Amino acid sequence: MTDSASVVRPADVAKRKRVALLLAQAAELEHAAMCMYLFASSTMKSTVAEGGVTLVQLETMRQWRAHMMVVAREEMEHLGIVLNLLSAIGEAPVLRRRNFPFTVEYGGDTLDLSLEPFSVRAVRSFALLEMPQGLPRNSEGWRILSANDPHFSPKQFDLIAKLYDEIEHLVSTIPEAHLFIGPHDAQFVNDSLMPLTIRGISIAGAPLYNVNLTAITNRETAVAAIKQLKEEGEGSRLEGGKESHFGIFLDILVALTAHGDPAFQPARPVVSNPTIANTGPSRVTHPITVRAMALFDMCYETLTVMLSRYFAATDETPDDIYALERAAFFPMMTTVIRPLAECLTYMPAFENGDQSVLAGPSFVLPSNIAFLPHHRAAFDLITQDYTQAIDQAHELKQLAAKRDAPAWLAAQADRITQVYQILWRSRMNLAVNRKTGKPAP
Amino acid sequence: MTSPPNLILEFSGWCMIRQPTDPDPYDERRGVSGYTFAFGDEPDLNRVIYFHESPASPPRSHGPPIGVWVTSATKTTPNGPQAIEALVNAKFDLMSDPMLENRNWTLTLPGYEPIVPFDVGITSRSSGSDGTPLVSIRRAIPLDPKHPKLDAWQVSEDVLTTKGATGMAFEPQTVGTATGIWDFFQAAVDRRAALRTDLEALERSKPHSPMVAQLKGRIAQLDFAIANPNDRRIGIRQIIERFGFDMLGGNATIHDPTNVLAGSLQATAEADWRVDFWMGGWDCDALACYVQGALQIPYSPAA
Repeated sequence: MTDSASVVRPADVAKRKRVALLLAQAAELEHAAMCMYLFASSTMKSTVAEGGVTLVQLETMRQWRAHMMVVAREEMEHLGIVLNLLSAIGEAPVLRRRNFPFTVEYGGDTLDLSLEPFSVRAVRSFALLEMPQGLPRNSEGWRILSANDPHFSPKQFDLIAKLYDEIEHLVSTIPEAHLFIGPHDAQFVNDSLMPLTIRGISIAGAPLYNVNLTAITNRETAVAAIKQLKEEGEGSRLEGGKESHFGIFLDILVALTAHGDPAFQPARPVVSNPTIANTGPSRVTHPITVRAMALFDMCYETLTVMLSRYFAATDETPDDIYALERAAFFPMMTTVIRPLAECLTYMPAFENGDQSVLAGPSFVLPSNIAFLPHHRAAFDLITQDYTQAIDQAHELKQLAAKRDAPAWLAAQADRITQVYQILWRSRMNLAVNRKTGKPAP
Repeated sequence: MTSPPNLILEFSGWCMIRQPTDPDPYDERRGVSGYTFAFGDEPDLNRVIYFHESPASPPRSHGPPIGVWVTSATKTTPNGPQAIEALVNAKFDLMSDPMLENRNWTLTLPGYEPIVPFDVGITSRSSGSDGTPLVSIRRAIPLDPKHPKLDAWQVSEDVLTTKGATGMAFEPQTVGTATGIWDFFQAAVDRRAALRTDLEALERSKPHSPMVAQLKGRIAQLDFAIANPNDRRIGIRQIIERFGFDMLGGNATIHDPTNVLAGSLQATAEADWRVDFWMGGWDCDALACYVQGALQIPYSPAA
């Protein structure tokens, strides 16, 4: 005897597969956007000694950069929402991503994504990426984006909004009982993130640093999550609302094109799409910089593997989850990835040591990176990765401390040492926190 | 039965902390995504806690007066408490570039970080024209007495938290009573008004002064705080962290050439000193924070 309620119609099976495919595409897009913003942000100058900026311009640039960092964090949040959506429908998290530059295709439209230093061109491309669907011709956004581009045609940039529109449509039409079959406790929401407590007031459930993740358990919560994705950024129909990503980039673009100072050069001369993984014009060849980029790539890969286990949450214990959280978020993202990314933008890209062409973070991922399915082996492999990164950081630290170290490397010695210490500590924390777990509030 | 004699020094005042704030990395020099910044041509953020003014930590305009001072000095004796006036208004300092060691949640959770190194110096007024203080007391203690050579990043979280704060607490009344500031939002409004007045005057008289960038930066942050009163920039002013631990390990150095103390302070590595204090009321525009507490030092009266 068959329970008719449990029979899934073939059409719904096809729709469900389509949702999973589109969510995987959305995950790649959100992940890529975050990297692009972090990359550009890491190339921005921070002192007048770097030349091309005044103290007053630096203050303005700090505000631009702060806004870009907020947007980058919200892209992390968006990635988290997409991973929660995947989890809600029983799928694995998708953290793999093609390496830069690459082209995204959807519905006959294409978007080229690449890592570019901060510039008018880069900020314009960010605004286009986040542009609301159907931007009106008489809008301020159209006027700004079409300046100096008589052939401006924003249709292709509707791609992301259309992608989320289709996801929303499918989620709204597949029977809930057949779609939301993932375990609820595998998702990560504000309450389960980071144990920040303050005696005397309740901050439970509040977003931490603009990251707002809520549980997705049914059609209503899924649609709300998709709307959040659209309104905060890419698919927003708000015409440049100040809090939307589009509005933020539009404001920066206007200020950047109107400063009127021909000597203003806000970014270090960093090569686009730097890599040590491929051949080609962006291939970094300076031997010391190559070591630093290898360290960055190792750390980024380790972070991605940890996040895969974190968002999959299959047979992790609560203590495992706590240990991954304490390792991945603040230490790896904030005190390893960001400082190393910035260090790289002070290092020569090419073997000739020419400091007019600098390197940057590649955000390269190995093509075979995937969710590690076996609990014990996964943590063993993560620990091995940490050990390799620690060794790489130690070697780089030693090079930077040498008496005859190039000035550009010696100037980064303190930060490289801090990264080494954080990696060392994080490996220890991972082991300890898996045993002791989250402290009582 | 009576308690063993102690010298109890109460202290309070405003200090400066030139530290970046989450989610900036802890070694961020200028400040980007947190809520503390080095503006204009100010020195880099260096994480150091300054209990007194220093060229490395110039006080910001319209901020509170910087300085932590002994407010009372009392000997407990079998015959009752005795005040030591010579130590009142002594300079109470943390030496050797102390920092709150949390490192973006890596060493401890926020609110549980220790101050490292913990090196206390107390210097009374001088006795005469040569500038020699009447009394000076100094003691630096290791973070982990069993492994005194380890740096903070090598010490276990359990050991770190024995000298760390006991968590963040929302205590506007504690801050208000100590500082006289009760309306934290209005304080930000008043500060911004004062800075705007300064900026207008400066732009007329010295439009190219580096101070213009400093003032513009500070005003922009206060603009954000006032437009977003639930933001940390206002909220953090009502938060305190309490510290309390035994100071063990490391010999103390005591100078009391005129026997002001009329006895001796225990100064060996085993001497169990006790310090309890809170830090809070964090004025992130001025990079200033209020400190209040007491230090107890075991004392032996002169025979």
